[in-house]
Amino acid sequence: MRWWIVGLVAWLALLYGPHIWSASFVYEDHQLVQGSVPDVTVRDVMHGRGLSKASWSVIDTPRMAHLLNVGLHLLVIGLAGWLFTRLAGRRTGCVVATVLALHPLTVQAVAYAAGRAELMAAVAVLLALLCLTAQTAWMSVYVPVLLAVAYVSKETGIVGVGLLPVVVWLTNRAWGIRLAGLIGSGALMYALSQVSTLQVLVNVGEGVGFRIAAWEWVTMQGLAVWRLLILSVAPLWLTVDPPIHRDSASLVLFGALGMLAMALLECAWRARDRYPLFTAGIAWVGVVAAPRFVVQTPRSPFNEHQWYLAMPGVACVLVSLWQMADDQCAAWWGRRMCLP
Amino acid sequence: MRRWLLIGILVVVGLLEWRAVRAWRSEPALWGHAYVVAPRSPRAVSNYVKALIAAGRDAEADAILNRREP
Repeated sequence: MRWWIVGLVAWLALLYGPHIWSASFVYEDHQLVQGSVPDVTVRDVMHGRGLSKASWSVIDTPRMAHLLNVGLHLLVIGLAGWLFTRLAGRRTGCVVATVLALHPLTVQAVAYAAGRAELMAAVAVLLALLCLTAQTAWMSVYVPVLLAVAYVSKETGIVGVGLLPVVVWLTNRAWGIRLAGLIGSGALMYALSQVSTLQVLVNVGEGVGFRIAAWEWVTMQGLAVWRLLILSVAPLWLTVDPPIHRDSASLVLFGALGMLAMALLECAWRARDRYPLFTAGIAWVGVVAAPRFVVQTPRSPFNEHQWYLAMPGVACVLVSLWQMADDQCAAWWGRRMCLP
Repeated sequence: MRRWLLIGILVVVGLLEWRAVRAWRSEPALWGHAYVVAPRSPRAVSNYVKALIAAGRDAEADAILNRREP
């Protein structure tokens, strides 16, 4: 176990070391990191970018920005490993951590300096989930605070509220004070969302009020989510410019994939007793993806760095698929594959 | 056999991750990668050409633009 951890850290150092040393700012890094003014307004906080905006002007050189991202990524890997060790055992925790460390879909959030906000939100959400599942029930009082930190890091942190029941279901523990944590978190997030309308939560450069028809947006996001699901299993066509189009062919494809999504949800529901990790993983991914169908950011459909918070759920699904394949091998040939 | 399967998966995934990180090292590398993945994307082409010109690689930018002509 200890050697496995050392191996993962060594791999990440080898992978990101040259990047930290020599990579420059790219894409929206110039606008976000270098063009950021240090003043954080109440509006920034309410729109879910106050904490990350405050951090842009503190750490604004490429080398330090990339170093911070890799450090946050290591923290996320450790926290996710810890959480799933607690929820499903040491082996599962170890595999979830390995998937997060090795999966190419995590690269955009880490290697892109502006991905810092996603990483900060992920750290806070995972800490909130760890507090919720702690042996000492009073730790649950920190949950609303940590979810608020997640939200002010990036508006995507709001999905932490939806992840609470997923984790509670997986732990199958007595509710008690944890219920108070859940209700408090829900009330806090509701209050935050009411400060302004959800439509104002837009990406940098999007422009408030830039809208498209709801059906077009749902089609685009549906295809974007399917693209990310496929990349989760086969990460071969990663790009900063996802080829998502608004046309009639996309609508037909969306219809077909929508039916496939329903079938996937049905499978997840049926598997809830035998493979609860699969059900929880699908629920986790669904909770992360769902708000993206409501909040319109037409110039940038759901992309890889926004998928970062879904990755622990993806890891759960991959672990479960491996377990299912293993069980099938045992049933057909009486032999198991290498089970992680 | 089982161990080699796992090692094989780890090596392939590691190589894909290495390639993905390399794409984020600079503006021309990022948009060059986007251009390879989606050569018909107007955004990828224009940003790649802009990045090449900004990096002083005008000849490569010309080649990209000429390649797109029918």
